[in-house]
Amino acid sequence: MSKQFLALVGSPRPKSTSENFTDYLLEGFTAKGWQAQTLVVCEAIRQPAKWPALEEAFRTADAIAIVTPLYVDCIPAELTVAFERLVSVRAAQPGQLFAILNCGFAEAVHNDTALDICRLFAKAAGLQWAGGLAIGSGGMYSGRSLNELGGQAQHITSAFDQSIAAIAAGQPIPGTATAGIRKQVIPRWAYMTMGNLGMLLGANKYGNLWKIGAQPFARKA
Amino acid sequence: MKAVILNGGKKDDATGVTIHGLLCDSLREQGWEVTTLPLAEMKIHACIGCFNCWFKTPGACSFMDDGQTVVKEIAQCDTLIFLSEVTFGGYSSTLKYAADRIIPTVSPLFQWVDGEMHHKLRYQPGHGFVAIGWQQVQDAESAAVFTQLSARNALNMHASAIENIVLCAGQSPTEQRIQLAQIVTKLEEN
Repeated sequence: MSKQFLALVGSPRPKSTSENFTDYLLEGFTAKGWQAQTLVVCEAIRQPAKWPALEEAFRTADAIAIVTPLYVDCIPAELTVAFERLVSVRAAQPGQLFAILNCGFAEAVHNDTALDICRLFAKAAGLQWAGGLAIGSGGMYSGRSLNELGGQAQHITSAFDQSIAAIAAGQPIPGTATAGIRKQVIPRWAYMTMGNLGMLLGANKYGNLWKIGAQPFARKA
Repeated sequence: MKAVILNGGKKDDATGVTIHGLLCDSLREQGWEVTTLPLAEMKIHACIGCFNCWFKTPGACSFMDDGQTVVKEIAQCDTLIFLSEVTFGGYSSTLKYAADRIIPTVSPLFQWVDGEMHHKLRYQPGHGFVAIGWQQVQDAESAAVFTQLSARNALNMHASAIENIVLCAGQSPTEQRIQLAQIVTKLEEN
């Protein structure tokens, strides 16, 4: 019987960057002969009929990836709900868990606390922690698959390839992958300049360029 | 001075109820005006990452639920206090729903803070930030992650002061009261 890989997507957004990342992981694990599937956590939280399938997939998977954006220095709320519910469902079954955190700030370091939280969840759930991959400058990877991004995402695909090979062999993710994925592809100042420009354009789309700093709840003098 | 407590405890969690009561007493004894938002009793939809609060209705979320109250109270407080059972080193899901909805309190624009990229504040000056956690069983590893998380939050909030503490259900209320009073005293000093 083939081994099972489960990717749990923590993003509440449709067609998210996290889902694009899991597409790549699914291809990789399928190529290794594993049965692989992705489940979007927020759908199972908001639609209770979908929860039992997620819980069963989590209970039986040989390897689990948590793939999520960073929300306020941490994992999103609905993924936290899932952790609280899933922590005691696996009994003593062996299995590995790794996490991929993606943030919109330039630096990957913002993700490290959330990775620690995933590590502590793995420990509490009785899963072997296989490692964490922290991706910064997430704005560069939204809206397109990793294959479409090509060389711009080469450090990500390389880290994912190494991770898939390691997990499939029952090993933790190697340090070359956890270090390599943190690479700063463009200078931080350039990323921030583009980010600020993107934010101004985003507000301008709604005619709010000059209201971007509005304070609707400011204290009255 | 006004303190706003985002209480992420469950109604039936005796430890959380005790700590909240002791905290309110300590703050009021020092002259603080205290507002508690009992998150377990409030309706707060998950943030869906639409960013309408940055672009379409700057500073205000599209969900017209109790998340609006959370943002308003934070915008108008002097100190924000997160209160939660430590959950895998982080906040309880009850608190996390509210925490995810605070992004209207920052601007979408970026600036450097301590050499890292962060959002600019929407409301100046920033408020103080305190994170108080509790554990049913003492666990130094998850307490350390909780401390690290609150420090990261403080950095993103450009907090004017930061304090954090992890209490344990096994401590007596007297011990908890002393530790909470020390936190409140430090806030006064800042």
